[in-house]
Amino acid sequence: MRYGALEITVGLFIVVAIVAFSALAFQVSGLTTFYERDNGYQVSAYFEEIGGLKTRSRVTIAGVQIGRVHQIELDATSFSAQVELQIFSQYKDMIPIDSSASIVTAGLIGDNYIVIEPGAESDAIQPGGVIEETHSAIILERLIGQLIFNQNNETPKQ
Amino acid sequence: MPDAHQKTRSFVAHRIQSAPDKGITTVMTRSDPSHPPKIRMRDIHFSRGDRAIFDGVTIDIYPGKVTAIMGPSGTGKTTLLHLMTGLLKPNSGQIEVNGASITALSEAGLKRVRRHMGMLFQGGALFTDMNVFDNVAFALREHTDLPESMIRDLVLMKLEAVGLRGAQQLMPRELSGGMARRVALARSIALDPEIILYDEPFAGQDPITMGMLVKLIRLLNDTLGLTSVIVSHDIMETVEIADYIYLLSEGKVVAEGTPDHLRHSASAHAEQFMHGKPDGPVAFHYPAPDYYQELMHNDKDT
Amino acid sequence: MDFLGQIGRSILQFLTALGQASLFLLLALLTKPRLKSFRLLLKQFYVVGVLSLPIIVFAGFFVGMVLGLQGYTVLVKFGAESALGQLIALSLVRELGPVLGGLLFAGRACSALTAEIALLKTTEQLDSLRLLGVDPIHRVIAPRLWAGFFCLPLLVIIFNMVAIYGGYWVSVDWLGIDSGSFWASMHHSVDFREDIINGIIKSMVFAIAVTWVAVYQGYVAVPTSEGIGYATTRTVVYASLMILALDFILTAVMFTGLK
Repeated sequence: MRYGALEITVGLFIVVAIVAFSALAFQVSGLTTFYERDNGYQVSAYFEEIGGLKTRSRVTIAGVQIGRVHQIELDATSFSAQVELQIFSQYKDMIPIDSSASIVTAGLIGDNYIVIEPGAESDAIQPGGVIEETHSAIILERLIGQLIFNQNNETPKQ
Repeated sequence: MPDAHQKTRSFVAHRIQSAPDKGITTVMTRSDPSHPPKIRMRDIHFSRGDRAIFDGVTIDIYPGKVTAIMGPSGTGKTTLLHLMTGLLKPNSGQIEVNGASITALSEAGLKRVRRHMGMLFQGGALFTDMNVFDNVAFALREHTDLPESMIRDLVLMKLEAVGLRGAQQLMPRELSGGMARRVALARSIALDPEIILYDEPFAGQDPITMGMLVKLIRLLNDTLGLTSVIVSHDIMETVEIADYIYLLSEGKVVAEGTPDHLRHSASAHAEQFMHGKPDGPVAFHYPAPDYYQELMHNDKDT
Repeated sequence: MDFLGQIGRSILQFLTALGQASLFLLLALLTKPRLKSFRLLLKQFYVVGVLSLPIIVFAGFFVGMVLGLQGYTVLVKFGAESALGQLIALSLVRELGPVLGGLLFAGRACSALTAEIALLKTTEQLDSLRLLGVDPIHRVIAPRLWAGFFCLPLLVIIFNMVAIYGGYWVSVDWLGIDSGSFWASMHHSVDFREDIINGIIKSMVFAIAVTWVAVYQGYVAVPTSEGIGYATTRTVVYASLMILALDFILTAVMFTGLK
């Protein structure tokens, strides 16, 4: 069966729209996380203060992304934030057990993300393990407030 | 499929053969009880907004005749055709087509009645996105399951009847006004209607086209045994083909009769309209306060 | 007293028109689809969708480039220019895509729909259809409505993607932002369900509203050349206002809970 120009252009239009939709889904929104969830493994870390950290924020070592923040919850006993990290499965058995995690900010007002400083131990953190050493987010307003306070009063209060 | 094919063939052949006989049998007297009116309108009242368009109009359309409804422009002649086809509903009054009261019919019932009616709209109203052939084939494709070869034959026959078989591949925008009207005529007779309504068929046509349309309308009426209704204000052409004329003015039938009868009628309306006099019962002046008074008032105001 | 009467009458007239328009929409949507209607729909997809594509692509590309430039000048002051991808993508998929796409659609496709239907009415083609035993609401209105419903969301998706690439071109090839961080910042902030799907839902709501306005205005237009002009103007004005008003409502419902 032969098709007219009308059918072909309309078909092309719809195909272009579908391609654009897939691009929106996978390239723009990173929908791939839905599929990666099974591959990775989770470790948790407790922070005093997480600032603007959100689920899906990056987890990096040396600037290379190795995972994402999967879940953030308040630990009811210690009133600290329990952050579940989803580490990509290709980095399994590579993160030393004495590594530390800190929350940093990209640029002055950019996103918060987690930087992991690798430790020296040869044992790696197992799935479900906990990163013991953490550094909380630096809250800019609090720093500025302290700075102003220090300048105004010659005797800084702790 | 071959069965349907054969049936239509014989049907078409029958039509053509019997057509001349029908032409003869259509000549009959007006009040023949064996031939009741095809369309019967009784005491029609219709208004648009506050303006009354029809104020008690009674019209009978007899089978086999060419009936003309004439009147000055703005008397709602087109509205009358819309009422006959059920496109509009009257405020009160009875309209019967083939004995069925169309004021009481549902949309489905109207559809059945309209199967037997064709209408030639003023501008032709051809479907602008289809060529001439598809325009004429439209109703056949929509309402029958005929094979394409059969539809082709029927369409070519209808186009041949209006002399435009050669124009079948043209688009409506490529047609002159007269050609468009003839194609529209071919389209309205595609389903072999019993009644055909013409809305101002002669308006804005050159003399040659007018002559051609006059000839076609009469020919189709007589050879196909149709009942024709013409709405028009072109006296010369209409008088030439009409068997019976209704004259409308100000929402009423002001005169009726055969063309001869009207031409020699004593009625002031008939006199004015038939002879094209600028002033008469239909006033030259739109209703206005007294001329002298208004001029004087204007002076006072300013 | 006159004033109160005026208000009451306007409201009653508005409600009557709304009721008629709703009934009209219902009649058109309840059409039984036939094999023939598929071909009619295809034709309208071409007229409504494909013919709107050039203006959508052109506008999308430029909107994306302007977003890139403007966003850069603001973000660079805070040293956060790596978030440019995020800014472009979020503003597009949440707001600018559906709203600008909808407005362009109202100007290009809806005005054409109204003018075409009003012209069919003026030239008695709608009456002609009815006399030939075909309901113009099924034949003329329904395929145009469905085509509008489907085409606007597709056009908005294309608009978004073209605009993001327009922004990418300005940011990466011109302003020198790292390509990786452009896409990465987008990845981290744009959520498929909350942003992309909500944006598409917005465009669907707009599509229903503006196509409905367009075909209804065409159908009830006064059948004169003047009436066609009025109807077309009304379509563009009503459709644009509806998009902006609906956008506020939808944004309030969809995005106020988000961070």
